[in-house]
Amino acid sequence: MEGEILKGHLDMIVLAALVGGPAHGYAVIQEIQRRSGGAFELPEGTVYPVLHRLETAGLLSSHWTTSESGRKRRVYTLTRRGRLALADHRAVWQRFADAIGGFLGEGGHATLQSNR
Amino acid sequence: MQRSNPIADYGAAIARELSFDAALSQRVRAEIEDHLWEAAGAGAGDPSPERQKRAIANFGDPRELALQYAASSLRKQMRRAGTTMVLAVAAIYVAMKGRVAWYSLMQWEVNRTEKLASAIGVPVDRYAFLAAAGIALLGCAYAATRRVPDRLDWTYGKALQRYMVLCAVTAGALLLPIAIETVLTGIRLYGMAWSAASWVPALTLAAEAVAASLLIHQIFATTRRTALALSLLRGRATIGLRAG
Repeated sequence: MEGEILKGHLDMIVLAALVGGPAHGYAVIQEIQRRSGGAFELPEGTVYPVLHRLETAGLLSSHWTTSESGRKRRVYTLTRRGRLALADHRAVWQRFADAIGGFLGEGGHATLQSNR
Repeated sequence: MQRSNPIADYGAAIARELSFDAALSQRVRAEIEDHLWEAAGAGAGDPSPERQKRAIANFGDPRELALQYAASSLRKQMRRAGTTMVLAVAAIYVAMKGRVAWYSLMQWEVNRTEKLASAIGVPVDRYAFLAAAGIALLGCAYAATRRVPDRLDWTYGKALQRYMVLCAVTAGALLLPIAIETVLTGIRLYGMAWSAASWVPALTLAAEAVAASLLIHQIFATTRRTALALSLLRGRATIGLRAG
């Protein structure tokens, strides 16, 4: 999928990837790739500034843990505000997708027919 | 011969690019190094430099990453400077009012020199403080209406610089009443026998000076951080390519 289109929706994608529970950055990226069936291809580093920005906005909280290998690992959790923001994003996306779907489907079809 | 360690080099490059925010720099370095070790498959032993390089190649350019972190970091710093500015104006106002209330409570005699100095100093003092408060409010409104981009750009950088000018003008306008009040208080206390009551005006002046100093410190810190972050926009990085 086009990177520029994805970037506009990264906040929603990252919030959605954390719905299942707390996760560290690498797990968030894996979850995004798994749920998108590999369609969302972004430089992996792009996700970390988004996590930081969402945390600064109060939509995520984070804390350090220690991984099995003994390295420091930052784990992110959706906050209540984050869940509300995701619900808003979902509603907006649904309206947008319905409108685009209708436009490209029925509307586009009608235009093609009238041009014949 | 020392074995090459691309992940550590890349982590160091990220930390350098984020040097405008020391705490963020350390945090991001640790977080990203953890990611890269995992991506390179560190669980299965020490990954080879080639596997490390592949993990880095999927991650992106350190400078590009730093620019994405910079906008939210600078916004945080801008808010800190704004909060300090509002608190400094409020603290100086309370200290001034407290000193005046103390004077009327003590009913100290006003000498001729003080009357003369007050006739000139008090209006200047008042208008300078009002100007400082007005500019501080303007600065807060300006900061609140700026859109924070996902990635630091010159438009946001210029907005930050304008905001810092407003903060600096506020600080300058606050220093003027503090200087005038210091002179007036000095004249009032000069020649009086020092007593416990004399400590109140002295301490309120000290509180004003501390508030102004904290504001100036925040302005310098924010200006420095902004300048360092904006330097990322000048020229392209080659660090990531070296690490990769």
